[in-house]
Amino acid sequence: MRTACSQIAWGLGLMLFDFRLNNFDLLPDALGFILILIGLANQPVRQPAFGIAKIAAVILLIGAIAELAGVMPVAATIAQVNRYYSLPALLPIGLSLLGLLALLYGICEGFERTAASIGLFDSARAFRAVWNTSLAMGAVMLFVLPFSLNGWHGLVTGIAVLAGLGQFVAGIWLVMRVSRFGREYAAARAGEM
Amino acid sequence: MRKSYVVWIVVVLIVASWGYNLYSHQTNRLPEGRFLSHRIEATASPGDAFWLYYITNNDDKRLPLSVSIEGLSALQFYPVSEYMTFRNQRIYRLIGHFNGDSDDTPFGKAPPLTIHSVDVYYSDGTRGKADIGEMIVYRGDWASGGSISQTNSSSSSNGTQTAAFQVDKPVTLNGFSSAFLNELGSTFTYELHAGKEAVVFPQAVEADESISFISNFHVPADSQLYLQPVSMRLRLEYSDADGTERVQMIPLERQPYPSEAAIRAYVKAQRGATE
Repeated sequence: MRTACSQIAWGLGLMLFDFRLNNFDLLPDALGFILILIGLANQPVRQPAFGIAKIAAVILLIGAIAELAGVMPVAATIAQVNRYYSLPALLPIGLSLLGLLALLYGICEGFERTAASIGLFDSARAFRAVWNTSLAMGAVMLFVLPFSLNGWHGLVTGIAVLAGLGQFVAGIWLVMRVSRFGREYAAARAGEM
Repeated sequence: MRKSYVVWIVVVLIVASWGYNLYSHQTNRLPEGRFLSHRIEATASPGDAFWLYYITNNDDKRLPLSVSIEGLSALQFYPVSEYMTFRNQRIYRLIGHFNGDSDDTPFGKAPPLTIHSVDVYYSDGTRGKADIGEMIVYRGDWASGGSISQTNSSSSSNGTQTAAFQVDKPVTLNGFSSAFLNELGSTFTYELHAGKEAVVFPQAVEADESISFISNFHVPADSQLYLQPVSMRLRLEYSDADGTERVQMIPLERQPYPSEAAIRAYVKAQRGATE
């Protein structure tokens, strides 16, 4: 469990941070999704929510590889959306946001249930809080995103930057929670024996 | 139970946001980019210039790369530049400029040219004729060397434009005209004074007297006229002491400055005309 959690945490970290050098992403998201998939596959406890996370990670991985291969243009972040006005430019952002929310839901829900099943209720509540925060931020983004089709760029950019910051903070919180849960789970199991 | 209500409200809000914005985006689109309907008077003399305005959807990549008018090789257009941005549309403009090559602008009396369309080469590689409204090019009757010379001109932010002239030798003012005065009607007002008196044609003006001209455009709020660029060359017709008939041109510009509501009304009208 500890290794699997560590893999998921690293995967989430790679997904969260973008270090670009001459437009080349030194920490490609694809690598993050692969690590998340490996971590999810190595989970000792089977949870249906982890299945949702796996499907979301596979879909996001395909998108990330297509982006790396140049099949798809480099995805604009929602904060850059004022450069785009067309529906074809906005749809991939909206869909990737939905995919990301599904991934976060699967991970948070899976760990929440796992934590609750072994009596780690504080951890369970923390995962629930991370998911609620991510959902709120994602919902705000999904709500404001289509307004850029009609020229509300100032509004979209302002709200998206704030919501994106919130989602980033929630992401770091999740990375820390998952790492810590690996240790807590190992300690709880050791205590049972 | 309360939580599921919240989730459903959020989902409904997101779906409503996408639905409303997609609908609004589709219904506020111009069928295709086009030039505004201009009213342009120009003289085919080196240095005279005017603007052409082109409106298109924000996400439309097809823009005019170059424009030409058959039979007017001395008229050259500069590349388009962005002029105004609205929620769903942008207005670009390009300046047309008569250069020194006057092969096709014979000096002397030549009838004015009336032009309704221009040849356009677009950024997507296509070519075509595009309607620009009405453009009248005066050729050859702006003979210089008369007895009236312009001393001053100005324009203010409220649309008032003024011009002042010095009369060097006695002249008789015979008339004042523009091809678009009737069409503009009450939306364009002007006053012409010789000295301190309003001019009544024909009017004799002595040497060293000044002639002043003040004009304004009155366009009602949200009127479609906000989207009609006007470039006039008002013709102050006069005769010298020796009877030579001359014309003093007074250039006047009204650039379009539409509101968001005027743009929406324009798009609606264009869509209605297309359907």
